[in-house]
Amino acid sequence: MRRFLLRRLAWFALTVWAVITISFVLMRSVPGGPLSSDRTLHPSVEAAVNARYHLDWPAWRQYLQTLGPLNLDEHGLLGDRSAVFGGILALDLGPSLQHRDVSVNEIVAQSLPVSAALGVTALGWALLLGLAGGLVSALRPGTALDTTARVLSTLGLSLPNFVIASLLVLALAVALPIFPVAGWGSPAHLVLPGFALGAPFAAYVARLFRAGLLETLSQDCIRTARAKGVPWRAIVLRHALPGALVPVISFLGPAAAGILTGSLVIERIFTIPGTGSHFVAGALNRDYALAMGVTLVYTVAVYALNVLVDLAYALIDPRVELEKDA
Amino acid sequence: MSLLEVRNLRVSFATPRGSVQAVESFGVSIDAGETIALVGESGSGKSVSALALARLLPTPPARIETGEVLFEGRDLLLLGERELQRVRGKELGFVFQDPTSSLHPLMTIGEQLEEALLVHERLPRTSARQRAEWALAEVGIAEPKARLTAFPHQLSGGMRQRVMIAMALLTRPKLLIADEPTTALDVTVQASLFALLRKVQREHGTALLLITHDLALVSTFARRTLVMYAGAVVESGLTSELVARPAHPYTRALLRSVPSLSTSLDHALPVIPGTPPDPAHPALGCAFAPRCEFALTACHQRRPALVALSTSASGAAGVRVYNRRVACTESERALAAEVSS
Amino acid sequence: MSTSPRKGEWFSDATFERVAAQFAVEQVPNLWADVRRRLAARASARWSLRWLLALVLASLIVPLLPLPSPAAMALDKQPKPPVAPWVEPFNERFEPYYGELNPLDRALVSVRQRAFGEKQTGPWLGTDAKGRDTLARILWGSRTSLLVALFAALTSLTIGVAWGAIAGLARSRVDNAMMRTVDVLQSLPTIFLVIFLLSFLNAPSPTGAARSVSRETVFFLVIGAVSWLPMARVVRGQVLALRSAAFVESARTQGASTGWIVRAHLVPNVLPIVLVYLTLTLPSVILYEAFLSFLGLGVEAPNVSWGVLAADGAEAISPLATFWWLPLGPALAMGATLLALGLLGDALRDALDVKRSEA
Repeated sequence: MRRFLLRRLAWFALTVWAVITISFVLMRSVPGGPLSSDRTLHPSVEAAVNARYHLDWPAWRQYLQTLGPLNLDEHGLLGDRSAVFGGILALDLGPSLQHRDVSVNEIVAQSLPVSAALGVTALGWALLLGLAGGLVSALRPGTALDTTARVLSTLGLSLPNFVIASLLVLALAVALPIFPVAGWGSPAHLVLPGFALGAPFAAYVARLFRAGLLETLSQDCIRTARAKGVPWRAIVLRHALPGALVPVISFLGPAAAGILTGSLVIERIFTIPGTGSHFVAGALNRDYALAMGVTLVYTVAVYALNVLVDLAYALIDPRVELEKDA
Repeated sequence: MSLLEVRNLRVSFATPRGSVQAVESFGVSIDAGETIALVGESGSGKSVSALALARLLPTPPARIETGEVLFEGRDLLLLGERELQRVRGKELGFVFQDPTSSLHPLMTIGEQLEEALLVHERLPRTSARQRAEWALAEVGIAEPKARLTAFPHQLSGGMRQRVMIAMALLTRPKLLIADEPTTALDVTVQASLFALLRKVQREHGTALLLITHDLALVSTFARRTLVMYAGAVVESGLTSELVARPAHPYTRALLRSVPSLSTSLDHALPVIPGTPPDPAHPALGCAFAPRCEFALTACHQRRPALVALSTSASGAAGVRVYNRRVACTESERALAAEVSS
Repeated sequence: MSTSPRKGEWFSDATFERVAAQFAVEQVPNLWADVRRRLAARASARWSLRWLLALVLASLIVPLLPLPSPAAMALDKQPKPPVAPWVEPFNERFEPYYGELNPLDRALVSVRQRAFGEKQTGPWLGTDAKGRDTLARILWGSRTSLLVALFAALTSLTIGVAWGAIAGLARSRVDNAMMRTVDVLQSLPTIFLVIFLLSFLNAPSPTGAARSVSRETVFFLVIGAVSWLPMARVVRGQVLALRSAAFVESARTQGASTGWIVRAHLVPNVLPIVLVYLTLTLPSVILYEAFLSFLGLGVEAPNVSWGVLAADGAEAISPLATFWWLPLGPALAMGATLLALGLLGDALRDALDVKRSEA
């Protein structure tokens, strides 16, 4: 267990380092400074700005400062923070290049709860619809109910989330004004974007769960349970469910990553002030500090979720040895 | 009245290429405390028959076409699912072939043992656990208390099968059906498991239906034996008589192909020529006729029924034939001739 | 010398290869004939295949069709709703403005002009806010999706298969290094890095000089770079499993050469899973393209893609005025195509009897 966690931690560090380095190299390799896009500044102003964001430093020094935890700075970035060690390893994502006087940390702290609420809603939809659909399909294979659930799941897998979002808004916000078209603030604002974001994953969960249930229900040990006289309901719930959940749980890692990715688009469609829309805005406006910061936050989130998934996996299946395939 | 009386059981399977007759006709009668062996090569329908009589086959694709399964006078094929559940595991215990796949991999030994008690006797969990521990001790598992929290993959194959036996016996069933209980295990483990089965059977007075392809084993174990071929019982009778004087040519061939230590390696072991029939294309006549050395033209045209060996033929020579039945046109004459000579 | 073959003779490499070659000739075509029959027996597979073929054909000859140009604008303030083909089958308002075209397409367009002149289809699927014909844009947009899919298929089949096969066949150290590389690449949040990368190239160069690489080139490179990873993983797994499979072991003990084993056993047994994974890769890549284009990081105007159209459609939704045809058209086109690929993949998986392992 401990060895597993340590090993994952080492891989995690490697991944984070790779993300930082690749982002940094990408940033540095762009022709022209990041601030030069919108308007031409007076040379002296430009020099001041460059100095403020360390753009006048040599590359290695910028890289070290970005990585941290160091303070290579004599004059400080945001005035009063000069005494603080900066850099990503000091959990300081630096100042935003676009939103002057706001740090990336502040932007993330403000927007992450919004995105988390959206993501959790989406995951909730995915599990609720997916598990229910899979269960119904697997317990009544070959019936009309099964066929309906499978057609719906194939559709869900074939439609991109932004298409589902557009159609949902057309149907349930414009034609029948039940939910708000866009925006943020009330629980009603969460329903449509959460559904659109979660639907493809619900479809996949339904497939996995159906296949998993059918597979476990056909195993010899289920016959043993029937021979013991265990009621069917208890067989499904106690004997078949845990095994059938294993593939669903191992899908949760990729699903979480996919939901984060999808949120970039969904937050844009529904104008939700989440981390994803900040990321897109940052990337489009060449706010590299912001874009890299969000990338890192998402990397950490996905990584942590994957570790949790592996732990849950080991909890369900006693045969899984965490140390072996870490 | 016998404990279990199965009559005329017919089972078919729906396959993409049409229906396949897996069991053509199966019948058995078992008294309380009795041991009966069901012998046949793989695919002869012996396991399917055993599963079908407790309605453990998945339907579809399986379908029980006809038959009666009278267990203590009640027809199991007519019971509702709920009543059937009260019989399965309570009156009727099962030990399956492969203990590795038959035990639930994600549940502890204790949980799996206690389950039957919780379902059938509604015991409180602590006393169920106590009974499970005793049951493990009874089947010869050391440190039974510690084993209760183990998972199946942490035990050896022999231990797992002991757990299966303990599980089947936990509710003191009147009949135990053991489907090739040792085929998946080492030879050395086999002997000890059979000793165990015999011990618990004697102590509890449980009837045993032992499904096996091992004829040598049968002669030491079961009082009566049924031989199945191609989905039908072809011969039945007291094991001692059946082994000494097999009536059906298939039984004869089966007995001849049992290797013994005295068999010289220079001589090839006699094998039954040909292959078992394809259940998708059943023959018109006797299913064994194509492989039978005694087959007559009539054998290919008409399927012989399972009939009692005529007592007149055997009785004349002063041999008492106990409830001996055989399904062979030719054998009756042949046996009669042999006995009277 | 005895006439009966001695053991060594009987199992000589040449004999073995000859005997086994007969098998290969007999077995493999049977498998594929069987697969064809099973696919043909499935209505969903037939219709999917028809749709995909029609789409490929349409995207190839779209410059020849009497459609309006996807780039020609009309100074309408508002999108125009669809007009049924029987109400306005054709009009004579064709405007030959296409933006930049490659020479082949330019030739095709001039053929179209000679054949149909000013004639063009009416706004059967409506027009957008700039007066551009939705049907024409969807058909031209399909080219981007199909091109991306083709490119991803090529990288998957070359880099992915080769990488996986080499890792699976190589000794443990090489295998380890290769697969750890795939691991790291897969655990990177590639979409973020891709957006990052594309956003740099998105910004106009400050000097105004032409960029050394076009954004579209990078776009395709990036999609190719991420699309081969699952394929490599799956192929390696299959090769590893086959290496220790009983029939390969037995071929080896009978003296078959490595080249023979690869040809006779590995390729025919890896091919099904490669095909099945290809049908999984293609939709995900088409989605990827649409996703990036949706965010404005894909193809550049006047080029068009389904993602761009979906983004336009999503923007056109407002409670005040419903331009429902703008999101609906690309949604249906993309949905039908992805559905067809998905159904075809399912049918292929069943026909080839490939068990899907999560890669």
